Amino acid sequence: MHRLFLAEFKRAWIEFKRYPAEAATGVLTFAAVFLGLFLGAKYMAGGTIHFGTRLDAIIVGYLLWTFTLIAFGNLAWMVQTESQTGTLEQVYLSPFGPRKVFLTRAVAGLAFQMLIVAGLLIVVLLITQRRLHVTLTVIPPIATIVMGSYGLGFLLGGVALIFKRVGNILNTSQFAVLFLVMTPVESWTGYTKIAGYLLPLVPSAGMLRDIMARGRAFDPADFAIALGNAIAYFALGLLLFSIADRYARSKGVIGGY
Amino acid sequence: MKPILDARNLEKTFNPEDKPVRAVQDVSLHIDAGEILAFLGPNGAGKTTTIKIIAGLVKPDSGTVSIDGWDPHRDARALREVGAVLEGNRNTYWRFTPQENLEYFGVLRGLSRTQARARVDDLLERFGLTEKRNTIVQQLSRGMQQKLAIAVALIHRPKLLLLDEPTLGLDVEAAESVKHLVREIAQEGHSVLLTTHQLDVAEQISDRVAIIRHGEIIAEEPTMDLIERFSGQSYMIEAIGELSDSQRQKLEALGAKVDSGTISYLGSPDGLWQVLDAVRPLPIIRIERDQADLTGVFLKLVRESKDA
Repeated sequence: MHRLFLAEFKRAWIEFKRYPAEAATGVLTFAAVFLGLFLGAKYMAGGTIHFGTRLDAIIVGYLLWTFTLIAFGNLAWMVQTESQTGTLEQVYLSPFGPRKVFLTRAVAGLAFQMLIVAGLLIVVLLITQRRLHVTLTVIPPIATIVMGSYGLGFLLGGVALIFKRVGNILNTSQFAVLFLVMTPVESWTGYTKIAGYLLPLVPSAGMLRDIMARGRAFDPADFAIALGNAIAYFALGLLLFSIADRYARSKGVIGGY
Repeated sequence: MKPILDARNLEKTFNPEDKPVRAVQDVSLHIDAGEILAFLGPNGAGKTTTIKIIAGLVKPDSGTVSIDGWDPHRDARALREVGAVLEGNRNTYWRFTPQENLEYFGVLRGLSRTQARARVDDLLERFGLTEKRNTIVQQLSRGMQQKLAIAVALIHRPKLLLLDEPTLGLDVEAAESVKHLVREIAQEGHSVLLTTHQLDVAEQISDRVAIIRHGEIIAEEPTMDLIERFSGQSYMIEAIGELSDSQRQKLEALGAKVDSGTISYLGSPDGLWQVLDAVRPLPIIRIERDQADLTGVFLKLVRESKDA
């Protein structure tokens, strides 16, 4: 597997190096959207408004939204693009199988996606003049966010295998993801909180907001919940992708865009 | 000797509940090491579906596929012995160079990075791509892109190479080059399953021919035997004057081909008299028994199965 990872990492590096405008456009687009939202909110609230830690929570949520969109959208786009260009069959001809190839490709591309998000973070912090608590304890919830996002990515990848075009679904799902990562479910109480934590990404996003925006310490119990949620959605994504894969093979629609 | 490819009684029906299409019906194929099997058929006959079943990309309703003893639908080890260039597909990544594609696909097919790199120079040299090794694939000519696709399919030295229309859309020179490469590849011991509509290519390079129509194999035998079998029955007739429309229709109904004053007919001596009758009263200046070609044989077999 490490051979495949290195090959995918090299592939991602070549793309990143050869087509830098694509990465730069990503950062600028997300930064412009944030700037629009931020300035719009400031204008509506009046000049004297102070957002305080709420703004920090919004920044964390926005970064998470960006990152999640990149992570899960990437997997679905991979399947759609390979299908369009006629390379999907070649991926299927690999003894590693499509699930391993796509997952490895997604993980190998992670470092470059992190660079995009880091670039965005710098731009957003400059715009808002805020500082976030960035410690090593943010790594576990980011890892669970990635795992959950890949679960959702595989789910959409499965849809792309069968229906080929997922652009509209991806566009619509941006709003669902926005809800999942921006809603402060961690501050809710009772059954609504429990129900909220059953949704994908929610516990990880809440934990990350607690650490980065509210300066709280790493809570192992919160992490256990985030990890359980991420594993469950990752497994669900893989399972649904496998079902879609079997369906596509039986219908003869692998590739065939 | 155990065949490299042994596909038996393959069946595939699409849309079984609503307007079923029997794409593949009881298809069996085998290819020995170093052999080229030309798999021919009209559009929609079931060639690509059969190839995809063999490659493990389409699951058959029944039947078995064995590639060097492994079932591609159950065991990923079978895929280590298959390389494929599929029609209508890019088959390679156009944003990368030939060298990058070869190295990447080498690892994807199970080689180590070192093994893949060691193969790259050899393949680039052999396929005439050394000078273009660092050019983005998108900027290569169609012929070079196709050669690269074949090179990529060979990176892991598979025992079975599936080539779906490898010369489609290529100019004469590129097609010739691909033809020679395919022949060489087979001589090295790779088994090749080749589909093509260019029957002259199939005739020149294949050892055996299988013809499929409406999902069923209607002929399968060594290429030369098949041509020989029909050669004694092939005639060229030249007549002076214009054939009327009704004469042309009659000739075509008899299976004769009319081409600017020359009539070619593949059939029995009895049938030849019917053809001559159809030409009457135009004066005939030449009748010649002709060596059949694969195109004529193919058309005759496909028409016969259509009439049956």
